[in-house]
Amino acid sequence: MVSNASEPSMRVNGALLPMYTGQKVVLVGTVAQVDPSGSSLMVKASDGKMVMVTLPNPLQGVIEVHGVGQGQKVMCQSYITFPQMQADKFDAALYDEALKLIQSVRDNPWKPDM
Amino acid sequence: MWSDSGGGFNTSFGGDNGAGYGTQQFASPGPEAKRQNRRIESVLPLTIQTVLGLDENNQEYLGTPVNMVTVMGLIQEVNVTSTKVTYTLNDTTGTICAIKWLDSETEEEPLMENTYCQVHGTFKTHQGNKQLLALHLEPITDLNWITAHMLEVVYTALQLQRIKTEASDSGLGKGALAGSSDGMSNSMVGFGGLAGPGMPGGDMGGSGSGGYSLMGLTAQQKMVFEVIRSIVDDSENTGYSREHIKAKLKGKVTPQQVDNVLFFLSSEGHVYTTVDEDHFRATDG
Repeated sequence: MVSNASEPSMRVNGALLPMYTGQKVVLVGTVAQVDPSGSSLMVKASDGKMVMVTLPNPLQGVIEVHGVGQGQKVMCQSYITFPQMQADKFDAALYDEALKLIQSVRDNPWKPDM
Repeated sequence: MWSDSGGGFNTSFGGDNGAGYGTQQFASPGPEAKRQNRRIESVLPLTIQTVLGLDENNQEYLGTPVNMVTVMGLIQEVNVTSTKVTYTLNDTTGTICAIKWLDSETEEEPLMENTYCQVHGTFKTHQGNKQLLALHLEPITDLNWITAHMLEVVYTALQLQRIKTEASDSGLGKGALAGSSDGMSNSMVGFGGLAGPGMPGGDMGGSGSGGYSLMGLTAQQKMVFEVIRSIVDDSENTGYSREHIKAKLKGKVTPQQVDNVLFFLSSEGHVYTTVDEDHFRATDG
């Protein structure tokens, strides 16, 4: 059964969920736990039952975070993943050197105009 | 990434491992060059901020005329109409619209928002806004391409900056750059070849291979070339005769090889014939 965005979906809780296997559902709850693999979460549904939610695009691999710096943290506004790229193919050392160059070289195009 | 596969604009993208990508050939129309004005062939990697700062009437970047540019940025918006797709690109230095006109034959899916892409194209001003006319638009699936683009942009800027300062310093400029490019990759052969005509014969001539990039020539070709270049007292500008060159290289290069080398050098443009087909001068003399 192919999901069609215009088809109606059913709001469910943990107990009602199994009745709608293969159909579109809407589940509201609170995030209980994020799986370390980044591909699934445990959500506590409105009736208290724990439901496992699998994400379509797992948060894994190479990620580019856009956000605001807060000391040692970043407050993320958006992020981009590169799902077709394997994490170990990313040449981190080279990228690191490149960005140090960008920071240090005088009058290079990457520095914002003051 | 700097593989020199000839040609100014290479559209065959390797995609995953990048072989054959992005040949940069900087054709600079130096006013003192003995060659005729070359068509502008370069594809310059630039930041969007730089592109936005280009003046539409005088399209120059650090002294080099700009024709085609390449930028890499994140697609923030996609606007599809029946004739074209407009992408709003942001590369952390600025935002610009890139327009890709659609043919009726090609069926292409527009790229997704929130993905990185590389655009090769020209820039134009439309109703006061600068826009990119995308000739080639490709999604980036490998973040290493971003690293490469970052470096290429800085590299280009520094190279052009250097040409510019040396042009103002020595007055004949581009040749001085070629002399110091010995340590660089093959892409500098392009520089060396172009720098030849403008080079000051006086100060560079004595320093052996300095002053002219002799990369790409075999030992024999270099020897023949050096003989021609080292001509003294050539008040009539006739150059050296073929026989003279052969006599000078007797024992090192056979007459037949000298002929072959002279043919090669003249077809590459390093030497030219003067009073007749048997007299040669070097183009940087």
